[in-house]
Amino acid sequence: MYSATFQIKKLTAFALLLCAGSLLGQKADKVQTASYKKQPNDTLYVSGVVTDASSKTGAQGIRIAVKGFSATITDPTGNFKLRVPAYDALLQVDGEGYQSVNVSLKGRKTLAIALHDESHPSVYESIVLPYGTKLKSDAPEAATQFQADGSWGNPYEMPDAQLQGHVAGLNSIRRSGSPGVGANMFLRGYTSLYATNKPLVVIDNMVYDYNDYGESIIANNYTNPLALIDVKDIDQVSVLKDASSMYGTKGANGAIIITTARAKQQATKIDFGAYTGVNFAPQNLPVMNASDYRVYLSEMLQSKGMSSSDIASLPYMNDSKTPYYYSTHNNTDWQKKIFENSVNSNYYLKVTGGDNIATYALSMGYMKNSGVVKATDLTRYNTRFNAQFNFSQRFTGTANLSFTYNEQNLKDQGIANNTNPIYLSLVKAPFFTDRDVNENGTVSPNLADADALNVSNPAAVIDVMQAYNKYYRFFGSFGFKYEISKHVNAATLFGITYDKVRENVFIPRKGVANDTVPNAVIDSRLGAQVKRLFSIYNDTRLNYNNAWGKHHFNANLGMRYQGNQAEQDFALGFNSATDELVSVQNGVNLLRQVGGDIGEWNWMNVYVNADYNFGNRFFIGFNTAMDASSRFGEQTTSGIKIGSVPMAVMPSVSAAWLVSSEKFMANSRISYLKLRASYSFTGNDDIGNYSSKQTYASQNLLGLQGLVRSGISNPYLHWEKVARQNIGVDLGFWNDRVQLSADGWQNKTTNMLVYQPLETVTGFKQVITNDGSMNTKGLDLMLNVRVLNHRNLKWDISANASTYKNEVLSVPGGSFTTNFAGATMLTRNGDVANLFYGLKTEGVFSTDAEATSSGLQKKMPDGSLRAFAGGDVHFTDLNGDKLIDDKDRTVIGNPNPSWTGGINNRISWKRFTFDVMFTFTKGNDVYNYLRQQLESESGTQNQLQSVANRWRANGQVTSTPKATWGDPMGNAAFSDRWIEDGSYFRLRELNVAYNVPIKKQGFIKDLNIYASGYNLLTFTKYLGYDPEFSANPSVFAQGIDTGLNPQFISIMGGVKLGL
Amino acid sequence: MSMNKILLAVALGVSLGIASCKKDWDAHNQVTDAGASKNLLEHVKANTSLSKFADLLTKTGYDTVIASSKNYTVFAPTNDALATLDPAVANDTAKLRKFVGNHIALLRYFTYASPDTLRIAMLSGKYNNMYGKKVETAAITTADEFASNGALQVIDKMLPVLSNCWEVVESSADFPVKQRDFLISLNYDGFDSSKAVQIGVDPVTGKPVYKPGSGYVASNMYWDKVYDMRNESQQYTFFALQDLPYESEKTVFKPYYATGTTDSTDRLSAFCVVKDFAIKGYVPQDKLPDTLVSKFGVKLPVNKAAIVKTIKTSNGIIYVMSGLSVIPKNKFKSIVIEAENYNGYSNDRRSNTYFRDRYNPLTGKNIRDVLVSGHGVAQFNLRYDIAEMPTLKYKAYWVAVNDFQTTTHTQLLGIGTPTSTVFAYTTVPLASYAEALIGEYTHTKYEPVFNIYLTAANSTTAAANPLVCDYIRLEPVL
Repeated sequence: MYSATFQIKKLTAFALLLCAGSLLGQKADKVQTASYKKQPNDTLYVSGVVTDASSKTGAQGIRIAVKGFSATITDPTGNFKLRVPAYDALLQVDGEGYQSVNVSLKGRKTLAIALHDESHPSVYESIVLPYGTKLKSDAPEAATQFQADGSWGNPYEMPDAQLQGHVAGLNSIRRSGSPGVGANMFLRGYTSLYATNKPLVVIDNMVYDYNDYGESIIANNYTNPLALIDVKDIDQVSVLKDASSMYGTKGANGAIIITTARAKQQATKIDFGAYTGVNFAPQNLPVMNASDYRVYLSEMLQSKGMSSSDIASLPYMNDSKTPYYYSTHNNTDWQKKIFENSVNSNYYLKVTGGDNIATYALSMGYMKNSGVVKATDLTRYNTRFNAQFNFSQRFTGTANLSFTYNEQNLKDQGIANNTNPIYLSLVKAPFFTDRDVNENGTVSPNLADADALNVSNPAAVIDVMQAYNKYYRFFGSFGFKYEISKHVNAATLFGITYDKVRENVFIPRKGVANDTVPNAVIDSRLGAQVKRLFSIYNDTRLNYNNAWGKHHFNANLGMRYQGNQAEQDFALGFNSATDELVSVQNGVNLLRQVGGDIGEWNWMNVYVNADYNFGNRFFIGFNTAMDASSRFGEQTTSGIKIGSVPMAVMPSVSAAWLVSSEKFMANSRISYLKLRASYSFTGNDDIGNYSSKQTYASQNLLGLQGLVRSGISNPYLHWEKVARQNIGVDLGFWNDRVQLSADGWQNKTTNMLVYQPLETVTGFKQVITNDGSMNTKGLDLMLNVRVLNHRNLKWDISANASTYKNEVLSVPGGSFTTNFAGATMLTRNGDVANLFYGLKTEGVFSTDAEATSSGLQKKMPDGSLRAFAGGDVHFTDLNGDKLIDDKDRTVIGNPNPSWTGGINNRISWKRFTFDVMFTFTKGNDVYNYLRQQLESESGTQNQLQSVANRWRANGQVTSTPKATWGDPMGNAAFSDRWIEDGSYFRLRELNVAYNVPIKKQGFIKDLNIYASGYNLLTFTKYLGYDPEFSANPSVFAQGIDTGLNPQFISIMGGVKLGL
Repeated sequence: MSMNKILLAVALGVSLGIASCKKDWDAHNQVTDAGASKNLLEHVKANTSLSKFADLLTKTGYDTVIASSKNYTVFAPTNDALATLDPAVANDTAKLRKFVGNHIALLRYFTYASPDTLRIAMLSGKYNNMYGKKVETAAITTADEFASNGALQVIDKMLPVLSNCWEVVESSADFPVKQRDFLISLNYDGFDSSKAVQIGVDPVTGKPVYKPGSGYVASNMYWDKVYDMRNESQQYTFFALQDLPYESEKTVFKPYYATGTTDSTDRLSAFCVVKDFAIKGYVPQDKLPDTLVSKFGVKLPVNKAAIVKTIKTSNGIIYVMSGLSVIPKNKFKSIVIEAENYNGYSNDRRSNTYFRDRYNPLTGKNIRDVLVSGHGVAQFNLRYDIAEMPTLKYKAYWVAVNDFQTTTHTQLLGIGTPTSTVFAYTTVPLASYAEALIGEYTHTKYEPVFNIYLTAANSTTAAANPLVCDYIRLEPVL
């Protein structure tokens, strides 16, 4: 279906064709212009009828206009007659309840226009782009819009997770099931290995920094700044996939432009929403019960070398009534101890209104979203004030102020084997119990301590461990605009981001297994962290806008500046005197660890933009940006230099031809056809604040404190360059009832950041350089269909799918491997980056003789060789040396999906609206770390029920190896045993809305009732809680299930009241 | 479509979805092997040739044990093998339980994994030896049948419950009376504080006060000094002399234990005889060599023709012998005293005492000796305690290496007292690693503890009065 044919040549050819076409068009126009002059304008009329596309009856009161020339409205039968300047004029048609459309006359004198209702996606809707709003039909860029419209039906979504399945090319992977944690967004694959792959987020014309600076002290927690935004505040989201060069070195990954709530009318409107919902605990992973586990454990202990009398004397192996009988003879479902169904609540109030001087939108919200892991939640208090002022006819202003405060109760997640409650609940021996039990079986309310197998008590982690996070952000801007003349205006915007994150952790000594630091055994653990971000932002521009004849020209010249200061300070303490002393100063002085990070960086971006539109048929956009950044190395030779300041130059050009507005398309079945092409240079400045500089780090040597060089400076270090190419076609059939859109694209990264290995004599292992390159190409498809179009029953399907293929062009040495969660990933020239790289397996040796005949051996840590035996995994000896080692590794999986996308259904039936959304991911491989842990059969941890299939004696044919203490033969090594198909198809969202009929003129203007379900169904072969997770935004962490909080099913009911 | 129908459809969808999600797990967790899905009891019951053993399991309550969630190995005798079960065992519940328990072991044992003898603890408290496809004398006819909770080995003979070596000593009619009487006479009551009941703390000493009579455990000197032959986990080969040869053997050793009383001489010589009769390890009669070496390094000449009776025990074997004489020369070894391991000194001169590591070029071995020099005490001495010194004539040797100064010095080996005149002061030559003969000495009376001394010259001059010695050796002259 998709083949790799996106070559620059073809693109160039296409661009030339486009230019030729536009020249031809201009010629034709000249002829027409000549004919204008021959006939007086007032003799040209067009007449027609406007009908409702669903009822097929005439539509009354529809406004029809030629911009700046004439206008009329339709009569009760839908008929109209309008004076036009020429028979290639563009008619703008809009009416209340209907979508707006532009109709090109294309030489016709009579028209029949069928209008769809406004819920049908229109190719003529306006889309917010970096320099303002454009009609979608006029935009040469590859941009997609998501009309959130307040998301009244989805109050618990996070802005990043909400986009999942809505935008072709945007793969939004929810990080985990923790409330508010959001999603890692990859727009069109990835462009970088070590720099960011996040698209730029711009909210109300100001760059929104959504990095989590500095690691959380709560294991694997991600503080998501986008959780500070209430989705109900969002009006619309535009996703700009190409031509993002206007953002210079911040545009490498495209841009997401969010517009928040604004007053749409001057009348005061009050909307109030109240919601509540239930999150359902996930289904248990099938771990062994107490009796199966005990058999497994005794096998494991025998393999450890314990004698039968030693094993018999263990309290949990002794079935006589010892004092420990009741505390060691239970069948505890540990997963039930840590997961629970939880309740959410959400209230939201929005007031909009104003007068002809000022309009405003004020919103306030409260949300408490509990997680399915007990004692985890997110509480949010948010306010937003957006206003628009008309100081005078020419002088206008805007204010966008928001303040949000979040409080989160969390638990450790992922690889934190002593404190992650999920992991503990899976590996904890089921014969223990969560409370102290005396010799008579009386259960005490006291939590049991870590057990005899040194596994923490998950209930203690839930009940006593504290891990909370409080963060707030002020994000506000004032903008002013002055109309200097009819065609020229000047605008400026000042904004501030002030952000603070406080985290506190306390892990008790009772109930949690001890840990070690180099100089102590640690029992209780305490920590506090503060992270700050302060950023000022300015965007000042001069705009020129003119239209003459068929020419429309719009140009901007401007400058952006961003100054940032980030700071992180943490303190970790250990071993407070009692579990009642929970704050960090109570830790033992000798063991205290303090640290932090300070980052300051500035960015300046000078930009020029010009959009030209000829006859509403040809559209050309030109952008260029010139960036300076404190991060760039002073001696960089890339870009240009102004004075001694290196500047990145990022031009782009985009063009579109609206073929369907051409005369020859007048009688075509194709109602809409647009061809687009763009070529843009963008950059990525996420190269580290100080990587180009010489830095020193403090170091202790035998009690003496000093400074040592912390790396080799690279003054030539500069931004990564990404050349983005896009060609696209937008198609509409049958009066736009079927809309198709396809984009082929290619992103080529050069000067990509890589770690260049260094000679030993330098004293350093590596240095960061711009020596890499990578290419990603792909295809984005979108389809909108109105399947049913009756007056009372309408069904719209909006589906999208995208695919990409990544290829590393050059990295130092041709290849390197990375490690994460016990997995090894290979990145090498000519292949996809980040491929799972491990051993291949061919089942399990059923007898010792079979193993012996294979002749395979493994090198032990002491250098001796040990032969594989019956019950060991038969690894493939790829290099034929009869030795199973790293040299036998091969590519065993690719975490990149072959297709991702979503299918949205909207069915409106009378006053009901059903939104049914499916999302899917196909063809991605997943490394199931959690299953690897739960089937490793190497220790006393509880395992999955599948381990009952383990090899027990010679002759047994099975796919599960034997249980051996410490797994000396590496049966659980990273291999294709743990690689699974991560494809899934999910009923992501089912939303029913009912618009209650209300008497007009009443106090209540409208009333809507909502019922929704999320993640209701997931079809997958994946053997884990859920196939969707993203441990970390890094490319090298994708597709690895580290046991984060799983996605869960939830349902929600709510009501929206309009006053 | 009505709301009801929609809900129905959703409900159907949800249940289908859950069913389909579950299926993958079910397939993954499916136990593929029939053997691994049944427990041991089910395996035993499924085998018709084990029906008698299955009945015995039910009778003794072991059926629930081998169906429980621990790993066991069941050595199940076939019906044919059980046909000869002694009715005395079959009709005695306690004996029968012990008998059945003697066929079940905790943990799993497979024949392919036991090329060497495995000594397996059975639930009866006894042990059985498994070697390849044999357990004790029984052959494993159907080997390594695995169950969800262990392994089943079908055997062609029963595994009877035998007495252990010490039980035989105490109560078997086949064991010679005189040797038994002596061994039992070594019984004493030992005190084990961990078994005592503490009733308080002495306010003066701070030591615990125990309930009178508590904490005493029956013990035996033979267990302490030689081997505790009650231990089921170990195996022993033990020799017993018939009464007459036993008495004559004692007579041979009486001269070496001259004490004040005949009783004590009798006891000491008896112990001297029997202490070398226990050998660790099981040596079956067909593998008996002509000489065995005891724990104390004494060579036992074993004449197979002198074996009167063989008693197989649960932890080894006992041979009743009509003769087993050890010649005194083999019985009494040289007494070697490492000089650096002294038991006392006349003056505290730890700052003048050096423990030196040297290489002895004559023996090719590394040695450690003691040097006390510059101590400034006339006739400074180090004391050594020798335990249980028999009445014998000894030749005394030492190795003393004077490599710390350029002049020779003298030192004395004091027998009994530091200034004993049994030996004269002996000159220590320069840098000699050779064993030097000091002289001969006859010990006339058995001593439980006997002291000898290394005494420095009667001088306070540092060059004249150093003490140096690697070891002292007293070689019996027999």
